[in-house]
Amino acid sequence: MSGEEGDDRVELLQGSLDLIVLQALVTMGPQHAYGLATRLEQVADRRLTLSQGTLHPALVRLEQRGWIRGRWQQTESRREAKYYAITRAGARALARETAKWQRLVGLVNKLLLERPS
Amino acid sequence: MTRLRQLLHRMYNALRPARAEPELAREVGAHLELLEQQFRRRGLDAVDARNAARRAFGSVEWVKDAHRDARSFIWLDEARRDCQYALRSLRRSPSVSLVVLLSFGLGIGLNAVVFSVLNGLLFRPQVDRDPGSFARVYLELSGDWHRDVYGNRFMATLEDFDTIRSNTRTLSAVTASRPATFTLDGGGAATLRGRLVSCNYLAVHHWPVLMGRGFEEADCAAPDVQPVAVLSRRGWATGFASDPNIVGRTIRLNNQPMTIIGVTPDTQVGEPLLPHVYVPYTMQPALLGGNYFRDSPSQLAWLDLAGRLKDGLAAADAQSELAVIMKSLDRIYPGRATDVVVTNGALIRAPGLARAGALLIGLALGSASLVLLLVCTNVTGLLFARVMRRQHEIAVRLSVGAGRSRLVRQLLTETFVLAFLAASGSVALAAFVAAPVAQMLTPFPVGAWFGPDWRVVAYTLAMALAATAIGGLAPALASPRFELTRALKQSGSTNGTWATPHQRATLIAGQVSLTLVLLVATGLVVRAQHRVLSPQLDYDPGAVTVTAIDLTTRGYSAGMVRGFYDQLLPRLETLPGVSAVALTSAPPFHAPARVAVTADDGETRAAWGRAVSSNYFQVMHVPITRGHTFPMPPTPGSNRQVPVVISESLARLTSASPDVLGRRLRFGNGTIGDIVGIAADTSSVRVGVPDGPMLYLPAGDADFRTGAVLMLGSGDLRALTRTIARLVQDIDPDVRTAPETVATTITRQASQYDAAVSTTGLSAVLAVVLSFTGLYGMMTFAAAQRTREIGVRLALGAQRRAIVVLFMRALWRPLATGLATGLPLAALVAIVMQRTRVFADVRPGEPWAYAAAVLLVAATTMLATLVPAVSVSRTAPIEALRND
Repeated sequence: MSGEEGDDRVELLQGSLDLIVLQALVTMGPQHAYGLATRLEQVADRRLTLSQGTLHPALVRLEQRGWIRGRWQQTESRREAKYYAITRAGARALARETAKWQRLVGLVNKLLLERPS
Repeated sequence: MTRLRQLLHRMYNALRPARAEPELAREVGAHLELLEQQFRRRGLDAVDARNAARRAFGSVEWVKDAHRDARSFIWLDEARRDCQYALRSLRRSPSVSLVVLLSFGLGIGLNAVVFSVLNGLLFRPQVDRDPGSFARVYLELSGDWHRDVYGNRFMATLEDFDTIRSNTRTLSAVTASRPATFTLDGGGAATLRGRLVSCNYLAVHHWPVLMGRGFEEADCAAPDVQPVAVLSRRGWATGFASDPNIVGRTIRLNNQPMTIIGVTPDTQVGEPLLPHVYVPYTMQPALLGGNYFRDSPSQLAWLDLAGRLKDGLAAADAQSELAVIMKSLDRIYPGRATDVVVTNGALIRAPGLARAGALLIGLALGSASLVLLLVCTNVTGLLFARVMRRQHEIAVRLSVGAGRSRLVRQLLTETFVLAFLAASGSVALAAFVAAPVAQMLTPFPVGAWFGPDWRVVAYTLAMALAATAIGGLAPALASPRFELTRALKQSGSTNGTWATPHQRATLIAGQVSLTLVLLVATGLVVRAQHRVLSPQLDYDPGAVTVTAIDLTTRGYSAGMVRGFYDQLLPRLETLPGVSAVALTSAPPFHAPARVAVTADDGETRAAWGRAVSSNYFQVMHVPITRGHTFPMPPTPGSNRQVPVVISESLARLTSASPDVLGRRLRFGNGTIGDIVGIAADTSSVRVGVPDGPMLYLPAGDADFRTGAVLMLGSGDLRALTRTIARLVQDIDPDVRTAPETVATTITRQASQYDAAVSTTGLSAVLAVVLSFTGLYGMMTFAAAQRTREIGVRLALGAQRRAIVVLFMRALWRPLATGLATGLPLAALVAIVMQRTRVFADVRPGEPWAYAAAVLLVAATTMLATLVPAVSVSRTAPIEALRND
């Protein structure tokens, strides 16, 4: 609605960023905010409107819930950055939230694809 | 779990941001650096790479805000920063801060102390142990059914007690008791406050025993079989000097030997005053005379009921169950209906006290909050002045983009910090002062706890919030309305938006009307006391001696009571200087019994019932307008038919024709009175108030266990009172009397106004001082603001007097507004005061009280304006202009 016609970029739905970050940490292993942002941009193939800074509030929220844990480490280029790893509670939450997400998406799709009979 | 964890994190971060902020900055820095590196690898130069990194990252400030929001509560964080800022700026202007703090301390402190006293006496359940399960039971009888009441009308009969005790399923225990006064004989005879109790009483109240044992059911098995007593710690200390061998000792209470079996701690028993001694209620006949166990146990109410709720049940459950139990009992007695009220033991919930309690609370807290309101108006003036002085700073903050609402919040926080400090101090003050203040109100030991509980803290905090809003809101709202450019340019000395004449006028009007209310209240109370002190009487109150006699604690039978007076009266009559001696059931200016009088027409009316000997009318100068007094000597008529004298107002009530002599009246429990005489209306119940309908009964048939001997005499009355006390003791050494003249009685009654006069007087003095200093400060400030303008006026040749007139003229409108709103408010307060029983003598329509208050307020207000106006008019014009 907000974008121009023909623009296929989307904004993230409320709460979905948390899920995406958790899933990225599962597939990639411990990552810093920049690494996560780069990864998201690659996977989304630039179809995502996302300032990289947006990740930080999400990260602190997940850390406070105990779903990820951050630790300061050296990067390959010998700079320091805070690396986040998913915790066991985080993995459980991811499974739970993903299932919930799938159910929601399935339901929304079903309702949207309903044809007049 | 996850939610809780997050909540705790957020709270922690809100209150301790020191760790999170640098960590975030470090993380954001690292992120930007990595981004920048990537852009440089793509071939951008250093500056372009940095800019590109910033663009890709988005606004750093936004991220920080969102981060803060996510990790803590933004409002909490802001409130914390407002508080820090407030403390800093309060330190910058310590004198204003101190004055505001002290003003708040005065207003909030007064409120906290008054509320603590009320809380201890009225709001708290009067039980120390396990108050949650305590239940106090009140029974109120209604309907067409006669019941004698020895105590208050919410008491229970023995039958009620036994029925409830054996049928209740909501209460785990029910206990009965009644207060009584005992005379302790031997070893410096003293009066002890006591309580007759059922034998489960101590156990139900969960009291331990310090020494010996408590009561057991066997102690209450039958009337008069177990003369045993348990002392409270205070009774042990007062009556027996804490004798370590007290258990097992036999003492004499009301002439009855009683053995002490134990000592309990001083614990609360459902009333604010502490008893000294507990005895089984089955000892009532031996201790108090009569026999409540034998004489109509279903018609005599004399017991207070209390109990413990079973686990998980509330007072309302017990109330509905007991109502059913009482209804089944009511069915046995046609016409009887009983209302049940079960409370948690707080006096304010007691039926019959709620209304008087509410009025008392309204008056006490009302005058205290009026003082606080005045304090607030003063604080408003001060804060306006300070906002003025800080307009430069405020303008700077506004111009760098501080939100206006944020600014208002910050200024309010500053006021709240001061109010909060004052409130904390007030709670601490109340904790120390409330108990001594409450003790000043009664001669008996007060056992209630007056410490700060959640109610005191909540009330004081509410006062602090109210004070913040009332005192600080207007200046805070005015602050962002500065014209930025002017404020910035002028570096703030003379330009003020607050000091519009309108705002100042509102403040002055408010102060005038509040002060007026308190002054009128004081004036009316002083007038009421004066009226009580100098009543219009037909006799000389200094020539009539009253000796109140109380034989209830002597355990006398009816015959012994008669014997006592038969010995005493002849001895008094022969005393030199005594011309007449009379007997009455209640001393002058004490309420006699109320009786229901039924006339021929079948209508029943309430009247005072005063039993008197026939020369009462002579001693008290009550003219008999028709007929005659009782026959002398009194005919020992039957119990059912007696000669009576009625007052003119009762005669008018019962019959349209003046000829009521010889007619009959029914009263009390079916007694028939033959009207033999009509007496003029007098004032003998309440000083300065006509008695209204009065029924005089012959002394010969009345029970004079409590009564008073009146003597008309001349000569040295002081010596006479000593002689009377000695004569009484000759007959029974354990009857103590304090003979006094009626004049002394009147003075003592008037002294009940002392507390009222001193509280309203203190509030009024505070109000005058506060409004004077407040107004004086406000006017000095206003004058200083106008120095330049006045300088110009003077330079252009204005008279100094004209300058003063300028200021005084501005005062008229607010003064008039204040008086116009204050006068009806004061009249309203006076009417409410009169409606309370305590201030019944207050008459709202006393023009002098209002006139004096108006004059005083007007004089104070004008003086507070005159002094600054004169002083500013004296400034040399050149100086005033240079000032800028």
